[in-house]
Amino acid sequence: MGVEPEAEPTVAKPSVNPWVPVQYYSNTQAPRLPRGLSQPDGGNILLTQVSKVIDWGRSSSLWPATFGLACCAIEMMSASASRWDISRFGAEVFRASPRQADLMIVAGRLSVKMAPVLRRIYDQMPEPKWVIAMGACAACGGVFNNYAIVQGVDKVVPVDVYVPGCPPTPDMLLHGLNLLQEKIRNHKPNPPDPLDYAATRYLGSED
Amino acid sequence: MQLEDSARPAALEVEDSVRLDDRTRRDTMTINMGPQHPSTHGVLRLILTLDGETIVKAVPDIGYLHTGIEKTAEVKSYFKALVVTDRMDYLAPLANNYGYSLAVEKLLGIDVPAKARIARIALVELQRIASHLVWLGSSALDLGAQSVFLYCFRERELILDIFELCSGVRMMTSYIMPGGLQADLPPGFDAKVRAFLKLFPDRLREYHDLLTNNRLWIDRTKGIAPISGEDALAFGCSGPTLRGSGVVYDVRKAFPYGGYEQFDFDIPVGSNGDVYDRYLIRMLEMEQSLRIIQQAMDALPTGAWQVADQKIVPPPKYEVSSNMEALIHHFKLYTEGYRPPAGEVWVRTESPKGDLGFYMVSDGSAKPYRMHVRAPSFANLQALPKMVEGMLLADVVAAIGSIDIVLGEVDR
Amino acid sequence: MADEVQIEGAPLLATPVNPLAEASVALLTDRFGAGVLAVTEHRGETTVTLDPAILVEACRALRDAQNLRYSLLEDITAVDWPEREPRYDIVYQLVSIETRASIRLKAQIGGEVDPDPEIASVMSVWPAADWFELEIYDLFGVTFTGRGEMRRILMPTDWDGHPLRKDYPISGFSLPDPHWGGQAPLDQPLPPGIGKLTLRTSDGSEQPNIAQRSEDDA
Repeated sequence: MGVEPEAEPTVAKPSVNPWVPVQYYSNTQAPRLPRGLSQPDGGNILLTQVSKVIDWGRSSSLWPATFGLACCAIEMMSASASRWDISRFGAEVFRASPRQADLMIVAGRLSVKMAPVLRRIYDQMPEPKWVIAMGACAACGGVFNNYAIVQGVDKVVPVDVYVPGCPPTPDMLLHGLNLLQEKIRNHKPNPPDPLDYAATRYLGSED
Repeated sequence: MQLEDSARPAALEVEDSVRLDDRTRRDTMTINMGPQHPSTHGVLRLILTLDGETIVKAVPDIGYLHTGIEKTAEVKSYFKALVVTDRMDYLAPLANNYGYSLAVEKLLGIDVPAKARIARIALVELQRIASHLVWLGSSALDLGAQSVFLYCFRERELILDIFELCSGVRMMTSYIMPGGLQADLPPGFDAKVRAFLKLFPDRLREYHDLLTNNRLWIDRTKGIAPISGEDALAFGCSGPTLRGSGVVYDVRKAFPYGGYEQFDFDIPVGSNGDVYDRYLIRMLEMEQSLRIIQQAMDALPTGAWQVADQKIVPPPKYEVSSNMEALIHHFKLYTEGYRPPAGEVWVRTESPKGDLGFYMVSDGSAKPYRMHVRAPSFANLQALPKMVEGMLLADVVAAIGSIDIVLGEVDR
Repeated sequence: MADEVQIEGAPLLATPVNPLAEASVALLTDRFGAGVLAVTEHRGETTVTLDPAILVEACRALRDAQNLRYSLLEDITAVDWPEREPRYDIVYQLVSIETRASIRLKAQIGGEVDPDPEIASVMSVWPAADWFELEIYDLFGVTFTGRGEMRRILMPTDWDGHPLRKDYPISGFSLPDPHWGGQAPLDQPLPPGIGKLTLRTSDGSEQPNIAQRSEDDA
């Protein structure tokens, strides 16, 4: 037992929950500040209703950008066909140009060669924009744990909803779409951009 | 993100503004089509050099879906590598499973019981129809016939219901495995397939009514993107891409496998090698598949659906918990797997896209030493630059649709 | 290990008869004699191992022979046997549509003294060989001479290494943060020169390892 350093008066440190992020909004996207009832003072009654209408409009007419990569793209096509009609939720307008889309459904495995293309398409989308990672390969690399597949699309773009499955059936994709719509209506902010270093630093990641 | 360095590899450099002679100069424009594009049927990138609207040169740039499937199969046992084969030609997973299973069975030197053999053929032909329906829906959609897309997917749902009944999964079933089928055909299988057989010919007639004699469709597809028989053969094409040009090569007839010699069916062959011929061949192939399925369902015997040897196929679960031998077989199969004798085999099957080949090399260990897949779309895509030279830009879309490429297969 | 795995309850596969195999082998041995190194047969399939020097001539002979006419080059692939000398098997699968024959040719190249081997291209015989050879170059590192420039076709153009070689790990090599793909090898140190992929930022500079940036730059 060596010399003990002078012990500081022990004060109970407030317990920090490491799973609560330090900041709630993304650094690269316009911060979606709480509006309406989520505001600290309850919000102005008139603006609350307007923002509710805006969010209802945004969630009910999400226009996906066509980003079907592999097998999940076929189930995405089935989701837009007549049996599982994505048009019920206002999302049947698959825009080929990312400039006109606000939702990117990354359907399929992302290979290393395709990753810069994905990021470029994501950057070309105007705000507000959301990303659904459809399928196991988009969520975490899926069956393919190897040199050629990016282990999860969230290494490249910020993902709002993950839909597991290989491939997920169209009704699972529609469930994921519904979750995203709820997220939009509840003003939940987008996750931080993985390519922005500072935004990915949270409590507990010391490197 | 700067894409310039990888976007223009040296060999793909094209020269715009070519000086033809003293007084003339041809100004061309190089544009990029894809990899994110609604009509490229996947992540295909085409670098097109245009003279006005006419294609002067087309260079496909692939690899945007390279998944390392062949390398992945080398680290998995034969039993487990089955699941990655589904994901290559993802429009016809059962066809890939079938080729893989035949290759592994050939390595092992075994054959499957009669019920499995005939049921496999019925399932693969159903898968052929499903794949052709996706092809028809998406190609028609590219050329503007939007309602055909909805009709085709409606019919495809019926086929996927049959697969879901058998295996629980719509696509990527891995239902055909080395040794037979994963599980017995369920009781409702017969009724469901026969109901489909009764309903589908009318639907097929509907598609013919919509497209085959349609003035607009004929203008968009007749004489478009032709390729001669010698060129198609020289580029290694197979399937409808080759048969459209008049070359009669169908693996089911040329190198019969799996019991196809017992079935009575025809092979449609075209003459002009243009988009219309390839379209018509696939439509007629769907009819022929219906014939095969009808014969298969009539000839389907009762009996075992997989090989009796429990070293290759897993024992039934109720036996595993009561029988010691079954427990050991189960354990050995799932941890180590069976060891085929050393050697190499090449098995070719007729997938909906063409001649699908599986080259498997075994070194006597439990894992495939090399699994190479000869993807028909890989070879068919080589013929695309030849097809679209001199065509208009809009014809490229028709040509890609008519070759019916699946990028999962091209890039593996 | 037993030569034939006796499996109970499963009838042995009837090996298909390949009637023109002998004719093809006879053609090759008549014309090239010493160039034909070995002829093997397994499960009814014939494989002819040839000397790489006579490969193109042999392919042309098989394609043009009146009774054989191997007009379809079905596939070219490669197999890596790292402990064997020569290391790579380049495998050619040929099909004759008129005569319904099929044969497999092999050329063995590469090894310790020749880590990046070269072999003549058969593109002059069948143009289909183009992309097959590019794929083998990309995944195995075997160069084909007598045709245009070799380029990578499946991997990104600036990729290091040849993935399907047996000494390339399945998970690839560690890449600088942020990772596009691959993972760190669990038990090996990072080899030098691998993983030069860098993050290209919008102003054109390249960050070698974004994890080492200080908080001030963020």
